[in-house]
Amino acid sequence: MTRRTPRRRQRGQVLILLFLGTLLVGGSAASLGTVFSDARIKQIRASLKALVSEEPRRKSLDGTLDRLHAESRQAASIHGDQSKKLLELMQRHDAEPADFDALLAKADALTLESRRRLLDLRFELRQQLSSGEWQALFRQPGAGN
Amino acid sequence: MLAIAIAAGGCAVRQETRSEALADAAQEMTATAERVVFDQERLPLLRAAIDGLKADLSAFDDVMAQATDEIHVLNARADVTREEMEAVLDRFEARREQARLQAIRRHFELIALTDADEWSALAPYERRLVLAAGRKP
Repeated sequence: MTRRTPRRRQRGQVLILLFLGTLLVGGSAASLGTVFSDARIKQIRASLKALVSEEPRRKSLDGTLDRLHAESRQAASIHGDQSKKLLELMQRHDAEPADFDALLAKADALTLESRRRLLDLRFELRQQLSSGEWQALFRQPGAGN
Repeated sequence: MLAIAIAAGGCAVRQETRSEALADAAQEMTATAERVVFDQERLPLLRAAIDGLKADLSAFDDVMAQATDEIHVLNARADVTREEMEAVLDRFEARREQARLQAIRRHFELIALTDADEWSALAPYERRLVLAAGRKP
């Protein structure tokens, strides 16, 4: 029988909050963030090593990936934070709809900003790669060649 | 609660699925309502609101899964334009906005059907229900 360590449990909780964020807060930025999750960035880095042999270009790609990774984590952290605040509000019997409106308006503004930055970086990364390289990195299972 | 699967040669623990987690949380929230709310007029309304919240959260997860798939497929296209990606994200935002309004409305329906003491007993289960919706299917 396996047991989850406190750290893994904590990480699981963060992921749940992030996912929860997509309904209540976070929205499209959190959804877009799944394209550049920690695990995906790691895979992309590994694939790039095999795909791009020129050192300067790979360094430049690594720089863009670093910023994508940082942005994706920042978005996750902001949305986790907003989700926690919202859950606290839901526990209060005396919370008014206006309290929710204020929190959600702030969360929506953060979502739009995260989404804009993630898209900027996605298209910056795209510009640094050929079409073939891009497809090799992001090919969907079952999409054919 | 974890569902336990006994595998040949040992036992393994599997995490309950989203629908199991949602069903468990809703069932426990209803059971708690039956324990703490003695007003027989409000109780059936509370039961219906809890079932409604569970259904709303479950329906939104399907929207989310579909949108995420769509975004991954679009991203994989080397020739996709920013406008195309923005359009899919905007469509998802609009559906999310509707689902969120519905969930918040349902929350206030529950609040209106309870007093502060009853809510303090029920709130942890609403939290569990909302968190359960965030699990993988």
